Amino acid sequence: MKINHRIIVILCVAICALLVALAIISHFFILNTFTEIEHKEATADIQHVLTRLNDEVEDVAATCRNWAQMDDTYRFVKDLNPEYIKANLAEPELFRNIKIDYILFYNSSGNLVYSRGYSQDDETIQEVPRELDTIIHNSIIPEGVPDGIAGRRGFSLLNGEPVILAGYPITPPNRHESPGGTLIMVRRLDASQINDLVQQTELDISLRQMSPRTNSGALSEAGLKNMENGAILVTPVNDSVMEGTAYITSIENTPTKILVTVETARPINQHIRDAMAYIAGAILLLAIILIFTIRWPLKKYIVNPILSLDTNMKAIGKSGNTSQQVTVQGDDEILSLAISLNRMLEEIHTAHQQTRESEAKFRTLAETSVAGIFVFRQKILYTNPAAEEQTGYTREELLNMDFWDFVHPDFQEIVKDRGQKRQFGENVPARIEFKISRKDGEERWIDASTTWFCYEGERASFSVRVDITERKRMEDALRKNEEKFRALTENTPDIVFSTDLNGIFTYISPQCQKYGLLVDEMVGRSIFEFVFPEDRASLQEKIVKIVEDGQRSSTSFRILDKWQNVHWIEENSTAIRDPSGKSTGLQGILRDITIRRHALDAVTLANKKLNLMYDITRHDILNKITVLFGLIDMINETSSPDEREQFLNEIRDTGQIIYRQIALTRDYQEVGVKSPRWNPMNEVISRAISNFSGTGVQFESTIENIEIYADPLIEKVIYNLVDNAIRYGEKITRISFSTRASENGLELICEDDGIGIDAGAKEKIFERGFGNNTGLGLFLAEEILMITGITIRETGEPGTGARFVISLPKGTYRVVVK
Amino acid sequence: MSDVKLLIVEDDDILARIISWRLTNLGYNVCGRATSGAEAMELLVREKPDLVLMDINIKGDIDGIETTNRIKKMFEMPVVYLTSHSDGPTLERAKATRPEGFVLKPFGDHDLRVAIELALKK
Repeated sequence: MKINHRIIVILCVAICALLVALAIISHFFILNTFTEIEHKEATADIQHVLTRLNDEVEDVAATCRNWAQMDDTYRFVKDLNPEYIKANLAEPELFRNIKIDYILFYNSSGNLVYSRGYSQDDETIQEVPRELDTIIHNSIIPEGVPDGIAGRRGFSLLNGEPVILAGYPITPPNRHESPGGTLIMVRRLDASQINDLVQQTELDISLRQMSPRTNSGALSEAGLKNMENGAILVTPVNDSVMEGTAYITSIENTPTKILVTVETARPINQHIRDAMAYIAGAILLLAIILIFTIRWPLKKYIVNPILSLDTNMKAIGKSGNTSQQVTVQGDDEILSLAISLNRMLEEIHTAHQQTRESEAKFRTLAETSVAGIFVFRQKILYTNPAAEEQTGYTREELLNMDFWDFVHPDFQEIVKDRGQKRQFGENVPARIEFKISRKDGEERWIDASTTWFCYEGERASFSVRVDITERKRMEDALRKNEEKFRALTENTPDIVFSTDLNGIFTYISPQCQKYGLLVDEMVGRSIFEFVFPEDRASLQEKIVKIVEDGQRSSTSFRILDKWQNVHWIEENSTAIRDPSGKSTGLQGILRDITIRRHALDAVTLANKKLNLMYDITRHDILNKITVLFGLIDMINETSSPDEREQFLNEIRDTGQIIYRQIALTRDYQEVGVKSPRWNPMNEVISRAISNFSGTGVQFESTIENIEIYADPLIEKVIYNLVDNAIRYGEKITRISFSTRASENGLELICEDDGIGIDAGAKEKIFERGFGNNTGLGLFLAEEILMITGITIRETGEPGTGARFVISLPKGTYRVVVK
Repeated sequence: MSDVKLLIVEDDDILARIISWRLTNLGYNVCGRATSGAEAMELLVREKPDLVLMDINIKGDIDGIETTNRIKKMFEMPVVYLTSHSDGPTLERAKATRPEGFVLKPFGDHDLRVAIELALKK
């Protein structure tokens, strides 16, 4: 549709909408507002009519009450004298004046004794209908109330015509006697009476009996129910009449309903409808004039410039030359639109150029890429030369294949599934590694990275595929090497480890579990935590040297296992270096050399023993033999008996020294023969001091549940300490044993209250040959203790007692919990 | 009695007395006896002996071999070792000091005299 026609249609539609809106507004707002006013007026009208009808009832009741209180009325009901009839009931004039149609007299027994009627139509006296007596007995003089209900009044229907009834007792002159009967007066509401009411109220009034036929569906059930409760029902009959309706209930014991209806004219409603019709016509006329008036300027200033732009754009689109521009003219929004179109054409032109360049780049990149490039939906849409080389198929063959055709059967399902899901817009992982079967049957591993893009206007998958067969082979080889390495490290008796530069374990093989240490609790902790404090410095020095020099090196140190057993460990390691050559840590093996170390210690000890034997036999004893030879020569040369006796004594002393030296070799031979073991010190001390029970010396011990890892000859050490104390302490009375914690472990102290040891002799007492006796006890004691790294020294105060301190490094003692 | 003055370096009292007795019987002049290297150096300066008879195992911080080494450097004096070491590393150390002789224990007068005379003639 042309813009010109479209504008006319829009204006027509707008006018129609305006008219519809006007109709809706007039109907739902203006007319409804006036309908409410009419409703209120109709309600007021019917209330006014009901008031007038009630006034009629009160008027009949007042007339009846006056007549019933008259004395001659009393006498008449008693004797029915004709004078009363003649004076009051014979003339139609009387009935016309008091507007009463029927008068009825009932005696005190409730029986009708006289009645007289009057026809308002022909102004004559007439008989009272018999139905009226029935109505009276159902309302004013009911059964059982012969005197009647005083003052009872209201409406009823007599042969379908509404009437007003009122009844009062006929009172006697002296007022003290009982009523003489009941006087009933009745006023018919016939057409003339209704007309009088219409004239007085200027309303169209009708009264009729309510019956299903009367209602005939005009009144709703809800409306009838509301009317029973006294409501007034107002409904519009048509556009010119509003009807108001209410009930009047008759006075019988079984009442009937009398429908009072008032019809009111609706002039305002009609006037408004007429006015709205005039307004709609005026609007329609103005709209037609407007359409024809604005059509020309619209065409000249808006439609034609837009059509010009449209023509220009069609010409540019047809030529495909986006470098052309549309004509720019005017100074309004259409000018701005033309400028925007020109700018957009420039951008399209630039974008086209960039797209062409991008496509050229893509083609160049794809054609020269070493990675295979595939574009596919189900069928392959594009491949590059690398894809041909990768698959062994020609480009023409590939372009006739589905994208999963050359995928290895083991991976075909997953590759096909992902490709199809991606094509349908589902989010699937971009990377996947799979095998392909080349045209020549060779299997190759491919690492594919795939995404989707718009290819020739439709969604397609773009996949870059790299041949990773060699990498897979290397990974496989690496995995096998790792398995070999793991098997090697986990099956070798040595512990394989690595640490960082601070000695923190970064890896340790499971063999550490034989020392009661779990891999998890060792990784992350320092190697120095497990090393004997005495060995840490040398290990630290060795690690620094390995890191700095980069050479393989080894060192040995001691560790404690979970059960406090000492193990000698030999560490062989090299530095770990990063690609720049910088050291990042250590890696190597830890070998348990405890057995070898014990063997070495045994050899060292044996060598030491041999040296001692050599010293004693070759040096000491040869010295003494030299002395003996010399003394013998001196005896031979002297003639003095005294000198000869002296030389002989010296020969005996020298012989005894030679004997003790030989005895030393025997004792010393026992040192180190048996392996070190855990010795319970309470038992060791008890056995040692049991040899001195008769000496009078008091022994004290505060040592509890301590075991010492030492040569079994440790009992001889304790024996020698006690023996020396008793032998050389002179004034000794007490020897005590105790322990105390030290920086490196524990100290076992043996002290007495003897004369002590001179300061100059504190170190010499441990030398071989020192002392007043054999000089061998403390020398041997030190040698025995030294086997497991235990040392002994004397720290007592000369004159106050000797104090031997046996230093037990960590690992050589333990507390036994019993 | 010879004019040759000998210094004995021996820490064993009885053995030193016997050596001194033998040397005196052989006609040598025993000018002193030291028990340690330091004491020997003092006597060397004071007595200026012609020859030193040196035991290897003596008291003090330095043994007889180290004492001989110092004597050789300071006094160029002849030294004869009195030792029970007939082989092994100790003897090798002693040889390195280029002594004028060795007398192996146990020894008699003849052993002493031959060693001293040979040393004095070198």
